[in-house]
Amino acid sequence: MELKQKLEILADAAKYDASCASSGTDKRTSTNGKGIGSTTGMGICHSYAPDGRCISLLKILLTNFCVYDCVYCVNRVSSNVPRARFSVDEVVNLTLSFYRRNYIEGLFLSSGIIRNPDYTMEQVVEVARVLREVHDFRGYIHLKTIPDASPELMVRAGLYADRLSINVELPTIASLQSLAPEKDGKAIRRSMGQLRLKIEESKEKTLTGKRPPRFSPGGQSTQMIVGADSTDDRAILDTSANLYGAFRLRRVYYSAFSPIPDASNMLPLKAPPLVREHRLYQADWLLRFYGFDAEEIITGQDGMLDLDVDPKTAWALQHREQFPVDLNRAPKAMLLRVPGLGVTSVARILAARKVRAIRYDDLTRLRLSLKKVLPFVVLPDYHPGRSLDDNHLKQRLQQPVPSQQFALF
Amino acid sequence: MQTVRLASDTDIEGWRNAARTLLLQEIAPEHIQWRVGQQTYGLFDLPEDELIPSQRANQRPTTQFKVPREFIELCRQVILHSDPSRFTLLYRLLWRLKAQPKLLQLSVDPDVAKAQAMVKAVRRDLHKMKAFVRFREIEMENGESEFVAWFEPSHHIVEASAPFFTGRFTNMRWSILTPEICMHWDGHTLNYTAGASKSEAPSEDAGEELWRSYYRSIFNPARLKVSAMLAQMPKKYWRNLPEAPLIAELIADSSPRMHGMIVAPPTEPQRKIVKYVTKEESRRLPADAGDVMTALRELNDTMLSSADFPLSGHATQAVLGQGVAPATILLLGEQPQEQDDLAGQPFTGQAGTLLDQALNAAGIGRSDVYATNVLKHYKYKLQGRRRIPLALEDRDIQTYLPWLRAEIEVVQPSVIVAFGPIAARALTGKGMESEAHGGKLLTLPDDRQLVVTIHPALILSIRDQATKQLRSEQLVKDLALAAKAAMQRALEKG
Repeated sequence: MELKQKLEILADAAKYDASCASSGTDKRTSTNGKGIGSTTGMGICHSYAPDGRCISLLKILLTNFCVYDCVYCVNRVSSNVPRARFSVDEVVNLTLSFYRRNYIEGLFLSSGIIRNPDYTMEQVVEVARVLREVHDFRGYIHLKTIPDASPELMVRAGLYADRLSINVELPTIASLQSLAPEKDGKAIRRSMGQLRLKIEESKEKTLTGKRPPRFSPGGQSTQMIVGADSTDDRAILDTSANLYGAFRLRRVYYSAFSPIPDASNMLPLKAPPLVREHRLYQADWLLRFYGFDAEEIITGQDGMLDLDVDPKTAWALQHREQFPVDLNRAPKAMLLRVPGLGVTSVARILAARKVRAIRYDDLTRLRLSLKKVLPFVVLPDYHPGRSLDDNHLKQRLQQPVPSQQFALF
Repeated sequence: MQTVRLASDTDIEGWRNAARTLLLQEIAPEHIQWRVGQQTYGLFDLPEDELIPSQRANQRPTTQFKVPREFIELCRQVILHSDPSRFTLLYRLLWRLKAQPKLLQLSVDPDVAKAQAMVKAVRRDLHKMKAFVRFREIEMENGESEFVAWFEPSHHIVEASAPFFTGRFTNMRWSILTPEICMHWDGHTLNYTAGASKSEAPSEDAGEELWRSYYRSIFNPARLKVSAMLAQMPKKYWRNLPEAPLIAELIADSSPRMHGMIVAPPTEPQRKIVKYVTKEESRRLPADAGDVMTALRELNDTMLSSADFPLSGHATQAVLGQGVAPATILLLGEQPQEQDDLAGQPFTGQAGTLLDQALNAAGIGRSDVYATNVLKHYKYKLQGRRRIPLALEDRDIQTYLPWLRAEIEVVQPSVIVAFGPIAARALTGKGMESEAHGGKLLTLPDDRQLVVTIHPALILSIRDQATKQLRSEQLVKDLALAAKAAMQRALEKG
């Protein structure tokens, strides 16, 4: 099979993984090396596809042959999609030639399970080894870890990779059991626990002052498919919060379940719930950076996030008694709860109000959505009046859902 | 009106020297015009008033006005912006900083806000240059490759991007051509030449076809989000991106492609499917071991597969007892620590190390004992991203007690060391304080002996060094007592 054809099959097979981040690892360059590559710490997106997703890494599967039969997966054993398998050298050369042309930050390599977890993991690790050791490649490498692969292989993966990830796939262990019968939710969590311990170990100095061996400096992440099972948002966020707490993940990715070629009839085949996915990401940010708890973010009776307004606005609308907030006096934690104020604008408000009082005109220069902020704040020369009591406040704050058929041409 | 002529658009040193001089002469911002290179004079500019910064550079003023370090950083970024008013803006900020030293904290001030917006625009442009420069490969006469790119930045950022490209493509020969300035790297040194035109850059090459295949395949037609793409990859960049010509076609086809996937009827698998045997299943196969160990394994398997534990939902895994059976000493903790939950073994991490040291000092090998906890799951609550252990309640103990009893039956210890009063309570049903019973040997109703001592994790949390030392010594003493008792029991039994 031609290389181009393999690339088409194996990129197509990898595109359901949302993660493409190239951030969070240590900074390095090639100035003292023989090879190529650098990392900046913050990551670079080299392109964007019309699905709005960033293209930062060459994201491919080593092979889409798989012995598992996970119904949501395009690569499941019972699917009739065309199959292909890259050789180690093919992946290495493809990565290097894309990298030289500045198309990518590095490689994100995953694989269908062939023969057994150890055999598969060995192949994946071998690609990373050749890139690092033979070609002195210093770009970003993200490896998908096969749960239950042997600890020695994990250690080697961590030595070469900048980030490791294992997908929990579905929000609950029970759904995983029904949709992915061969996958073991407990084993996935056990592996994530091991990864956290190894990542933390690699950051501690040993008693002799020697640096411990490198292990996935960019941490670990995971992905959950949303909308393939009936789990509600409350359970999803609860799972996320616990995953962050237990395994110190850098990110939990949410992937709206979308129709796949040759799909199983056990699944809801319809347009993917993109707005829900977007709201879950917003809620996830509230968990990580805004001091919200998983329980308080869900405001609906049905355990779902409000699709009409963002989760922070939804929370504020239900807690109107805590508003308006005085921008010149409120503590940081409360400023972070004001709809329309982000982490940066809160930092700017805190710095500015130490110098002088903030007034209405000042807000226009903070580049924020006045429409969102104004009903919830009070300033020396501004008061929202009775707008907080307005029954139509929610309708006024609603953002029209962007049309999917965007007129571009 | 004073005119300052800077050597180039990014002449930060020239700007600093001129600004320093002008500030000392107390010349207000509105009386200064800033010009770059050989620009033509404005109608009212008087050439004799020109200040050429490089000639005045040595005039070090005696009284220096200190500017905050962040202002210098701001200048370095703002000067890269393409807006011609940037020099005046920076001088006005400097002028105002004299009276308002905290001015830069005021993001709501119009001047500060404008400068910060310029910094943002420059950073973004620099970031997009790193992202969207696309090299094309040219084979040179000696057979080596040279990589050439054409790029059109919005601001004066080419020199600022150099460290990125030399650091990344150090061992490659490359050139980046832009309308204003070109940059060439031969593997060792960087050279700049005058601006070029797009026609001087190499045209499309075969290598781009693979990249386009990738771009086409990685796009998911079922999730069209064009506005999200445009926000990050505005159309002004498209003309130099080899993948951009595909966008229109991908968007147009997406809806029929998605619809096709939805209506397609499910197919029958074409290949023969072999049932996959999971590791879990293979692990359950009987292994040859002594009867006691088999009994223990059966017990543990039940524990692992049982879902009726209220705490098993969020715990990473069941932390089972560890060690050989039978064992003369059983070490009993209250519940797994966070590290144990991740590792799947009792007494790991720092607390485990401390316990090992204490066992060692008491003359006990870790392999001689069986270690376990009353609870087999980590009980915690989330506080932000931290997992805070929760205290055991009676009903927790009641839930796990049958398992502990069964474990004790299998392990058959003669002495149990309970770490902490709650572990002891699980065995005795009474409240016990470790202080009150430390150093004493108690006898349980089933005739096993009990030593209650302090939990190693608790010792770790003690701040005061003297107390910590004291408690550590107590732990060793208590363990030694247990060892002695176990020895005596062994002798009694013969």
